[in-house]
Amino acid sequence: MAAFLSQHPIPYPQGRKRIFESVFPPSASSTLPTPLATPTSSFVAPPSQPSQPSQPPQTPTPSHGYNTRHHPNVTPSPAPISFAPSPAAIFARESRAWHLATTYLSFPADPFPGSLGEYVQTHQDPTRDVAEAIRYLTIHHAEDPTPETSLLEWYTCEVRRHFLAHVRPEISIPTEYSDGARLLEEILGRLTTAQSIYLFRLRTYIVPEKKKGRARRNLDSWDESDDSKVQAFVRSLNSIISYSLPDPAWNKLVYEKFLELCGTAVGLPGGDDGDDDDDTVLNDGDGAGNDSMSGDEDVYQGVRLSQQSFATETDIDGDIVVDDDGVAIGNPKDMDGIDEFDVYRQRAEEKADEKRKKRKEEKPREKARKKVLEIWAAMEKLGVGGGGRRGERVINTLLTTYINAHFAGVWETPSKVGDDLNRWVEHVLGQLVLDVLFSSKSVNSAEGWAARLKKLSPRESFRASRQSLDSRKKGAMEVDAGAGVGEDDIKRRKEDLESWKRIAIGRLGRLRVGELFDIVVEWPDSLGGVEDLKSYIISPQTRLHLTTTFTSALSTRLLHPAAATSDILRAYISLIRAFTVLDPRGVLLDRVSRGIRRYLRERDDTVRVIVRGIMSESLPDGSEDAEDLSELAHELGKGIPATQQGGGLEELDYDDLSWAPDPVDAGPEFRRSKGLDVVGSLISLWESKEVWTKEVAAVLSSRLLGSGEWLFEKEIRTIELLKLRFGETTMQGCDVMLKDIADSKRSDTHIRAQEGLRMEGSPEIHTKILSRLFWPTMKEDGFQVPLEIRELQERYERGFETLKKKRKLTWLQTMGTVEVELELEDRVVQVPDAATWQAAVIHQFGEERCDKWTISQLADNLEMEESLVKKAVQFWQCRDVLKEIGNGVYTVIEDLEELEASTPPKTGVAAAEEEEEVTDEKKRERMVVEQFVVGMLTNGGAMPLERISMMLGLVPGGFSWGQEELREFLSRMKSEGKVEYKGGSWRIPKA
Amino acid sequence: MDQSAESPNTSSSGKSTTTLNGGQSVSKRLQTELMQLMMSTTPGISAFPTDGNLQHWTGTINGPEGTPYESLTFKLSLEFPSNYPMAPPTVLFTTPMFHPNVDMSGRICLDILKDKWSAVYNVQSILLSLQSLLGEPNNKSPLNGQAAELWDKDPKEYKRLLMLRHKEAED
Repeated sequence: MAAFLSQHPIPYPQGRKRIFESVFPPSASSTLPTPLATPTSSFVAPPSQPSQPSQPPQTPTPSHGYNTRHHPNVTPSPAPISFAPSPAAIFARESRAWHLATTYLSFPADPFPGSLGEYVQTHQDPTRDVAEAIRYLTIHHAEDPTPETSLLEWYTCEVRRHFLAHVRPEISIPTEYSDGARLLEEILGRLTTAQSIYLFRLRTYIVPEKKKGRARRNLDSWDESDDSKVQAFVRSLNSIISYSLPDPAWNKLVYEKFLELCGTAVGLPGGDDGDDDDDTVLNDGDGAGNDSMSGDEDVYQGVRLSQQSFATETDIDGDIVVDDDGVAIGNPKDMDGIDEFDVYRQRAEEKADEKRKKRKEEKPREKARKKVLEIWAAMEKLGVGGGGRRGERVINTLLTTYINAHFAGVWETPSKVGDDLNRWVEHVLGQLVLDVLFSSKSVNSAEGWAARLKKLSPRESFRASRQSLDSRKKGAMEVDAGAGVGEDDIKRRKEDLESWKRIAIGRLGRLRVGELFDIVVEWPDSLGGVEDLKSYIISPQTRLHLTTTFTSALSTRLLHPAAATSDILRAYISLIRAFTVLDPRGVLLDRVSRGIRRYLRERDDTVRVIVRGIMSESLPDGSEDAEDLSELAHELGKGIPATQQGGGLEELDYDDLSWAPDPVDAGPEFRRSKGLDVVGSLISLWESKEVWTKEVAAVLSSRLLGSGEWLFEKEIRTIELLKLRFGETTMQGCDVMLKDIADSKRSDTHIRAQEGLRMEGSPEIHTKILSRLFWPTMKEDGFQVPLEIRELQERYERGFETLKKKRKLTWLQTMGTVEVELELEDRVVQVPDAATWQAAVIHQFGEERCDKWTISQLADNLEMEESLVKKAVQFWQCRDVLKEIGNGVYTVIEDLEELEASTPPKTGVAAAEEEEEVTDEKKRERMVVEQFVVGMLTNGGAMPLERISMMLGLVPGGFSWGQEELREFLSRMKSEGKVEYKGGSWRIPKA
Repeated sequence: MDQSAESPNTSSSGKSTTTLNGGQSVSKRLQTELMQLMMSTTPGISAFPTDGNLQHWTGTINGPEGTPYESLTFKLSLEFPSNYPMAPPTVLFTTPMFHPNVDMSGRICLDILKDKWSAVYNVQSILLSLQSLLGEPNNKSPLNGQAAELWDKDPKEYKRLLMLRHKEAED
């Protein structure tokens, strides 16, 4: 019977071929046997079951409807053909069957439609004899597959050919694209469709299901299938897919998209949501994971039945960045363009109603998370996951971005940043990774688990980011080797989390190092930031990184001419404090402060600003210096930290049980922990103490002389504290100054009583008697004091000389204050603290019967310097006492109404005074330096600038000029012909 | 400038203390002298520490007018002992010199640098004494007999020999 059937000739072979060829053009493999080549052969496929009568082969089955259940259920014949036809007949039959099958199974030369559903709808079911031919071939060659005859092998090649020819061009990535998300989804959709169609045909015709009765065929359950043939096919297909993807562009696309989505999923953009959101995610993390998993299943299982392609699905979900209210969730910067965004919004509005019904109240983060999982799963399925590197990069960037977004500038104390970060890594990031790891259906398979684990192992990612490709491979191998199941995995997951945390701490540290300058400036409100850094600087590398970064930040942001000295000093003080907290041993402080110390030494007003800060209590209120660094006075009051008092003998302190060697990264000149001693650090800026005492004496003298008080407790205290720093002898001068003032009070009372100076009607006179040697040099431009004052002074002198034998008084006429009361025609002007020279000038206007004076007349009369007279006149002009009536002639304003005519310049007296003082001091200093330079060059011969600068250290009182200042000064001397410059050296010109 | 009073002359105390205090007081005194010298600017004399070492100075004297030394400059080296000013500094001419009281290696015969030394003298007074010594040599105790002889007899020959010997210090 069977033999008879097999003898049946096939009618109309030629016609059929033509029909076939008209529908399906000859495929690449059409060199295989054709009916033409074997015209005499006859072919009838063996019946599936004897009981099932086969339909007449002439009748094609035009089954247009798609019937998914029928084809797979065409069960193969249980028995091979048991007859023994002639070999030629067998060959002919096979050739015919092969031809029919391959012709049918070849893919048309067009791209695939948008989805598997569409494809299935349009494609034609095989005719009866084609089906039989396929069945014949599969049964026959199932057991001994050889490349020439295996239909599966042929199909694999055909799929490859078709993919490369028709699908690959569609997945190219343009060099510029505006909407990466859509592009990625489109590509993934195309690939998924292609894969589904390939698989569908494979499943339907070539490797039909062996099991019956599956309620739903699951197309993407390939990895659960134990059919090794299917798996091999999928592997081959996936390798060709991943090969076809344009490499850098694809990687970049996936990376960007992943980053964006993961970023949203782990709460990147909004820095303000913080803990609450973390907790929410944490709480519903499990639920969400499950949701998305089941969602995935729906999506992919539904591909066939619900006619819903991946692409259409993504279209609906594409506007994931738009909330239901149309509010942007994503960080707009993360979007690829505003235009796209608008499109999204538009579409979102169109579909708003639909969506509202459809969607549960999902948070955008949950949506993003779901999206990530979808894309990840799709890529997994396609085998284009990209392995660990993609995951690594994403995690790497996520960590950095998250840390930068959330913790930049957050320095509250006590710092919760570390804990927050740990929690975030553990629960949010870890959860996401876990979802990706476990969401796949391969969760049960140990192999799949390990493979996925490998892809995202941070250990690998850690190596990848730091080491070469080789070591990365090795790392992956280690992971492979260690990949196990059960407890090992859990343990390893923990390890992974730990190393993520470590990396996170490292990133946080880098962020903080970058911010360190601001942290220091903000001190002490930024204590938290320093606390974060503590956990970072645990290795020499990180410490080095910190110091180098910070030093360069210092020099670019602070150590330049635009910064005020007081600002630099304040930053330095904060720096000392912050670094003492950061590194109590002081090594880091030592290293970072070198630059700033060197710079401070070059500023010529550093000493002045510091001393005024230290002595701010002694300065008059409202003076700008007093406010600037008044904390220094407070610091000084704290005394010297105990650790420092050992001094140089510290090394020999055998009783110090807490002694430890210097840290390894300490510099050669590192001095042991100075403790938190701000004043000490500042004082040690200059080796020489004279620099300081000179300035202290200047401030002290102006304070002692400028005040009418006699008690200077604050000053005494400050000087005593300074003695602790500088030693008794250095501060001797200041001691004498204080003592002079105290003595003056006594001798003043005594002399006045003795000489009977307290007379009615005559001005009172009080003196402060200074020991000239111990006071800073003062201007001694004397002038002719009014006669009655002169008399009083002479009597006072006599009194003093009887009190102190062999001592002589020299009057500093310009120093001192006078209480002036001017009786004018319409008013009385009272000036309680006019300077003596100011009083003398106005006295001139009242005394003589002449009330019109020019400046030079006044100067001649008073024997006073013209500049001083000018200042005095200005002073009285400002008080509306004097006015200029033309040609430099001044007169008294007796009546204020006269004033209308003139507009007195009320500006700049104080400024002029200040300037004068500075230049006086400076002038003297310049003169000294000039003498020294001349002496030096005369005796030592020509010298380069550096040597001169060094030798000027001999100048008593210290030499604090920078080299630039000195160079400028020498140039000025050169222009005056005092020195000359030749061959890199300065010298005295030869006569 | 009565720093000398403070300087310890108690040799009975420990040796180390003496040197320590002595060293401090020497540099203090020398620094003061330097400042004084710089500020006074006596014409024709000058001195400055060599290489920043306060105890070794280089001095410069211009030859006084009306003498064979006119318009010549002479360099000196001044070496201060650690008990200065209790002991005189060692002063040498480093410029080759032709003078009755100066020998060929620059050593000077001057009473105030030897037995007549007193702590009130200072660098300035030494240099001034040497400057005047150039114009008024003490021919009774010459170190350079030839110079002493020629000083009165043959000023021309004296000048010639002086110029032969004299060499400006190189920078």
